[in-house]
Amino acid sequence: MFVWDVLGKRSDNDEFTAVGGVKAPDAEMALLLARETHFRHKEGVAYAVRRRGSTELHVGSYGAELIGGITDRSYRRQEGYTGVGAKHRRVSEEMAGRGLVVDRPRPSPGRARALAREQAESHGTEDGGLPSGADLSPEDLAAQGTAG
Amino acid sequence: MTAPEDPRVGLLLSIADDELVMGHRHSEWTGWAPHIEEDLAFSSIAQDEIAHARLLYELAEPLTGRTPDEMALGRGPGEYRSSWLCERPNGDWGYSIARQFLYDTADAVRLEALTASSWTELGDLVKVMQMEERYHLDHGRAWFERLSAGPVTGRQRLADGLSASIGEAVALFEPLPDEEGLVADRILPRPTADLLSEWLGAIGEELEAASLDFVLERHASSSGEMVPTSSGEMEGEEEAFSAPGVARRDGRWVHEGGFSGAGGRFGRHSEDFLPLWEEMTGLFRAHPGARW
Repeated sequence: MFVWDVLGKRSDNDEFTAVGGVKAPDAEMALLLARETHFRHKEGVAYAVRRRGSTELHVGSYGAELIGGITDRSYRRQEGYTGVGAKHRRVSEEMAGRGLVVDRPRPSPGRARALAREQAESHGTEDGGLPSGADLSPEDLAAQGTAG
Repeated sequence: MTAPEDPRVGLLLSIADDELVMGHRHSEWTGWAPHIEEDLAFSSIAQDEIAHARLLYELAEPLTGRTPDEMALGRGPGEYRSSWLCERPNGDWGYSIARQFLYDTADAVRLEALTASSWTELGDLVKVMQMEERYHLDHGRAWFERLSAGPVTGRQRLADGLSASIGEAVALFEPLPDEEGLVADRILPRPTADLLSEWLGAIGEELEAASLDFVLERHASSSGEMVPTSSGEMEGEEEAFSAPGVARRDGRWVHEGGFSGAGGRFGRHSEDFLPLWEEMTGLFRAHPGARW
């Protein structure tokens, strides 16, 4: 498996600059993987790969309009997290209206496993895991905590 | 929901539910793909598929009176119209790649046909989907070509995956409810049998070029249990579960007879669907009406 330098252009007027690397057996696969590893958040308008140690540049065939996707991908970009605090307050109020209040931080991983075992015992599951989604009550979810 | 009154809903759901369920299965590779670059690529494809499902549910909303979230996550198992192929667990990487390759090549054929739909809103939407689906085809073909070229273990795993999935891939083209009316109105410009013929001819040539066409004759037949519809109907069982007929006639691979793993377009699903549905819809069912 070869290492390929990944290069990108922020805008049409820019030159290609190195932005990272991928491992791939050949240029076609390197381009395929570079598009999603380095440009899925619309980080540029063009991309290319160059096998490390080589000078030959392979330019990706997808145009700027296709890099990062056409359909709504706001949830995977920073802009998608705008207003999360307000959403959190609104949902907390809704949950409080249902009698559900998160009153403790998320348990540490070790504590979470112990809690899962306790809940499994109380639910009678045999594998020691959390109950399935269909069995998980809102109270179960609240008991796991969401902060932290 | 019984059989949709408007046949357009059945058409939309046959594609949207495939995309949603396929996207869900693909997303299960997140964090587990063979290497991190592929992890991101496959996860992106999963996001594309789910986004396409949402577009189609939005188009269906005026016909169903249900929001995209309700359509995606608020229906009972028997109301989904996804194909069995999309429901199957990921298995190993060879199966997942074989399925992705077969699914997206088949998806490309049906989407291309729908660009000429008399329902212009659908045709326009499909053109948007096609722009993202191009990457899925590139991805599937890139992996197909590399695994089929060896080494031996990789080629064998791909062949095993193709053998296990090709019969149910044929069933992606099982006839739709009220298909005659859809074709007559040119909402579906070409019958599913015609689309299947086109796909099977093309995929047969690709398999022959890779000396993997033996999977068309030696594929695994599905023998899963059925999940009945919400009404308990199991009609059409004999025809739907007869052995799939793929044969070579006059130098071309053609479909003859029944389908393996058919019934999805009528709400009949494999034994793998119910666990998937429980996980996929668990949060929505635990908090009906909740918004984020």
